[in-house]
Amino acid sequence: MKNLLRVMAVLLAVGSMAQAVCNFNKSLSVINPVLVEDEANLLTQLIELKKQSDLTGIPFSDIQTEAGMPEIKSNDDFKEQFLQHTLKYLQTIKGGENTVQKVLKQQELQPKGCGPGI
Amino acid sequence: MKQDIGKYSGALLMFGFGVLALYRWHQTQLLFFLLLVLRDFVAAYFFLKRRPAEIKSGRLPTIASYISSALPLCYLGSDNVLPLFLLISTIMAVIGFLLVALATIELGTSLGISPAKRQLVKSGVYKIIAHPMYVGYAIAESGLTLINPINAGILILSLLLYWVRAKQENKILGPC
Repeated sequence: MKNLLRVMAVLLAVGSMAQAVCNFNKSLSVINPVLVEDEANLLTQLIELKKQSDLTGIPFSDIQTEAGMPEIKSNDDFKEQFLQHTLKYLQTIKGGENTVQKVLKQQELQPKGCGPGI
Repeated sequence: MKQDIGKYSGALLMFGFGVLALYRWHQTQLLFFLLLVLRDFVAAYFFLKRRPAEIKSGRLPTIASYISSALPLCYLGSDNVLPLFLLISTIMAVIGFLLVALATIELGTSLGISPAKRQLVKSGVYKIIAHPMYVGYAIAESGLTLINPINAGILILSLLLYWVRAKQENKILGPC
């Protein structure tokens, strides 16, 4: 009986350690460097585009964009593209989506009905 | 000889801890909690079946033992733990509680919270370590300090009390 209990204890301990290592691997932020860089570059270009449009007053449709940039003709296009690529950027970070959900629920980030926003 | 009432309260307490561990396993599916379930239910059974003590420790060491047994409940968790620290802490907890479980199984009906002379156990894990249960708890509790540094104060007090209990056991049972 004692032998059986000893074996059970050792097996459970080995299983617990294996489970802990698996959970550790899952919790690590696995970042795909290529995707991260692509999305980061696109986001930077989109921010620059918005700055240029705001400073000069030239509409998006008249600004020459770099190759590989999504087509942006209006402020709504900009918003959509910016959010899409921000989410894609977050998706390259494992667990990023969960953090977005958590952050969106924070009181200070709840929509107040007015404000500049994007 | 006085009736051993402590064995019933000990058994009830360990059974309660076992049920709690079972609930935690159901919530988290972590095998570690099943190790605790095994240990707690085995301890509850051995408490019920334990033999009466030939010699018991005094009041002060008994109080120290009960405080020492309750201290692990005081450790604090943390929401922001680095995954690596959590892994190390979990592995330390598993190793620690494996030692505690093996010591509990080895002690069998000689199990007790406060130091007392029942039967000297020198087999199994006791062949390698003089006080495997205290060593196991110390390892597991050290891991908890990694996830929240505030736990260091509790750990120091806890280690001190384990040392007192080990000294008292050596005195009652003879040097190991």
